[in-house]
Amino acid sequence: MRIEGLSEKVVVGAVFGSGNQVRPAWFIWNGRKYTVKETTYTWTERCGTEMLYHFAVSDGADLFELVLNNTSLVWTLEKVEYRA
Amino acid sequence: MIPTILHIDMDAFFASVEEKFDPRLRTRPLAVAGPGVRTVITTASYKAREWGVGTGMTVGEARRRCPDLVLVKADHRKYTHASRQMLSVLESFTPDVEPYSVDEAFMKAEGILSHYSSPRSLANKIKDRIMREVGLTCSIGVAPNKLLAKLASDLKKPDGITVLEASDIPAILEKTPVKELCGIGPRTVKELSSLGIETCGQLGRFPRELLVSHFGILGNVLSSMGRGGDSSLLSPAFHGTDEVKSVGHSVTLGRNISDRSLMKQVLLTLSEMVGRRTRRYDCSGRRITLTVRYGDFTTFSRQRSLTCPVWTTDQIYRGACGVLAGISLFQPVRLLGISLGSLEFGTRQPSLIHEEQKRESLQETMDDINNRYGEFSVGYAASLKDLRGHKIISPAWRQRGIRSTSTT
Repeated sequence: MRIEGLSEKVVVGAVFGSGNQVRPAWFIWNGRKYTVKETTYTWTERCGTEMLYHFAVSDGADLFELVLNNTSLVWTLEKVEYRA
Repeated sequence: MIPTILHIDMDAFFASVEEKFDPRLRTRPLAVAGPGVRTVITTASYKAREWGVGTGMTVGEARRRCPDLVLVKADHRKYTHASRQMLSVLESFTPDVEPYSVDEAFMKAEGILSHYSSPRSLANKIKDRIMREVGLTCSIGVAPNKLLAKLASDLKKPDGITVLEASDIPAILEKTPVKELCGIGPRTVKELSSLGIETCGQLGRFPRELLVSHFGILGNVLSSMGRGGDSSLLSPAFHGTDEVKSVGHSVTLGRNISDRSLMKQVLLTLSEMVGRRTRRYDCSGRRITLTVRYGDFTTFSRQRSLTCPVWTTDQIYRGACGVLAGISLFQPVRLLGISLGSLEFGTRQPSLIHEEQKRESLQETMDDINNRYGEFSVGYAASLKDLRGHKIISPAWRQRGIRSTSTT
């Protein structure tokens, strides 16, 4: 099952590595903490003057799309895909 | 002839990106379909191809052939990002890279081959870098020219490398169907077939004079292609300075329409999209072309030359409406497109007429808002929100410059 267009603000713990590498490590959604086991894909999208960094992450079971806005530094959860 | 031209072709590009996005899909037959209502398969994974699913097939037909098919709605933002990454990797080897489509590029390796033990070694290095930095596989053809490099990249797919040495070429071409050559379309294939020509070998041996008498000047080109000849030069991408002849957008509607007021709303939306790109790259155009496709796929274009170059949405819209008013429509319309041609760069002249100045000022303000807050943050109330934005990656899309539209 897929839920799209969530745009829910979420709390994310991320590791800012050397260079411009960002890696989400965990996030809290609906009061539950999800540990990121794998970042499967990343891509960027420009929205006006803002740059949005998309991260497809998996907690080992389901797939989530987290987005970091580089201007507001707000993380949102855009999409969830539950394992069928 | 030393093989110095590389053709890099990403394998089942959209489907591979989706598999990377969701690795659970790797074990299942997967197809990517356009986001529109009346859509077709844009890419099928190699697993889905085993079931006969292919590009251009309707979703219904694809499901009939492969009942377990996983269908994913295209998200072009992911693909254009990967495409830019691919180009960036290639340009780190040499600036002589010509993007050919969203998932293909040519590279001229003449100047860098001395750093590698062989063309194959360079191709391997490129494949490794693309895998490491983009996370996808590609197939590479290496040959003395673009025509043969493109042909070669198709010989070993997926994840292959084919190097065509001059001595290999006659044997390869002998049995290759003419339709495999880039630039020979279905109509030419049919006409060649009527002359008894099915393979490149036959095309190369066919008397050139007879080809010229049948195809005109194109006969010379076809004859040369049959022998693997191609004199086209590589056009590096640089930084979006490649000049374009027109700026256009078209849209296939959710249903066929006959209502002209609805068509005008579509034209306003398309004018916004065309105008925005025109202004962003500081150009204006003197010719407006309107393309109409009926429900039965009959397609035609009508154009109008303007007395002075235009660039605002309002001017483009009025021009397109003028063209539409002069067309008698005999069927409901499936597709509408607007193209602004006879482009002039950097020569826009503000109007001296007060009313026009007000319109231009309004346009500038709208552009400022959209530049800051994103495309279509503000738009004309009468335009159709659902149609705004670029739903497909056009064949003319490029990673940079005026052809680099942001997709939704």
